[in-house]
Amino acid sequence: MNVIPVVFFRNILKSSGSKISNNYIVPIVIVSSIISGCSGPNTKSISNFGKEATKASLVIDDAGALQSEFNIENSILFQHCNYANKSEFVLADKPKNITLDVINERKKYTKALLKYSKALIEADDPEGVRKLNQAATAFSKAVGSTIFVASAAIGAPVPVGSVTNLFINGVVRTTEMRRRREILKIATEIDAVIFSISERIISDQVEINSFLTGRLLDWETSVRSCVLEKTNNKSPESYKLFIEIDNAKRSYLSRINLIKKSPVIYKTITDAHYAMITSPADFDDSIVQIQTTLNEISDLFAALNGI
Amino acid sequence: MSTNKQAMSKIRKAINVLQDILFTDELSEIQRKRVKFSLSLLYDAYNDAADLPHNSSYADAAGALKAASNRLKAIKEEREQLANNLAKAGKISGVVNGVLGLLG
Repeated sequence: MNVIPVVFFRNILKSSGSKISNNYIVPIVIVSSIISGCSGPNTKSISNFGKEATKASLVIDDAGALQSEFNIENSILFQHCNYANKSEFVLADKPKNITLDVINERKKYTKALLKYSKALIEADDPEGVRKLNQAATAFSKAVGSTIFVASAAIGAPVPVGSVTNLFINGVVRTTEMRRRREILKIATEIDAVIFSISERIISDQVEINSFLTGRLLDWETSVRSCVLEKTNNKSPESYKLFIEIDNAKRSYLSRINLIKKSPVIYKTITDAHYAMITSPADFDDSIVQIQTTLNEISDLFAALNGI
Repeated sequence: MSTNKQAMSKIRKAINVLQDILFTDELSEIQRKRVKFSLSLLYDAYNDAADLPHNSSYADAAGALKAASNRLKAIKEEREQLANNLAKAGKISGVVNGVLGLLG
């Protein structure tokens, strides 16, 4: 038995004026040694791993998004032209456009908002809290019997088991309350940020709308000049081409319509978030509310990704 | 005297009213410009109360969200770590009981 923890506990008990007999100190030290010996994987290393993995996935996702954007912009038109003209496929340079940069920035923001919302829901994690309480209860029972057996082994009087249960469950409950406060603190800090950015979302929207509409017109003009002028309109290939182009246009239009509604969609999640921090008593309900807005943000992100 | 938090809440309500007008009402171009101008003044006041920079970028907001996500992930991980440690400690406690039982 390590002497230092025994002396340490004895001093603590003395200084706190506790009336717990010295006979209890040895079983308590055994239990403490068990807890401290179970450090498991290093929390910091897990966190660092998570950070690196997130970084890597962001790079991959961004590359994927750019590729998809590039494909939509060039592939549909030029592949069709290639098909119609039986000429070689040529990639056009991606046009430089400030609005497109704004859309890309908004895309990154939306992705971060999506990840934050998911992290918030996961941090609240009622299932995780239930598992923790179960583990605490199981551990209390195990510790109770250890103290009972240890006391018997050294001939000490057996302490009341429920005291141990209350202590361990109390400690676990306290740490859970601290985590709740921390989640609320983070959410409160972020709330001002997401509300403040809504100004930019509203002011950018007019420019984005006109850019998207203009782009559709440009695209239609190009397709028309490519398809109508250089192909035989009566051929089955031409009809097939027309259907494909029409489908691509409809898909583009539905994405535009969703993006045009962006300010309202962002406002929905901003309002749900504000309700969460201003009514902590309804925290769980607010989390559910945020969960329901996730689909809308996911759709919006997909729409932005396809532009 | 109002606190910054109370001021933010009041400014936010005013912004929400103007946003609703902007989103739903049929406005002339001049009316729309006036509403937007009022909104920009209110947002400036909100940012001052929240101690945030004026006209912050999407990248700034995305950075703050990413940092917050990481802090939230750490909370989830800490809870899981504690549950795992308690489960492991419970198992070890069972082994110790066996050893102590032999001593007794």
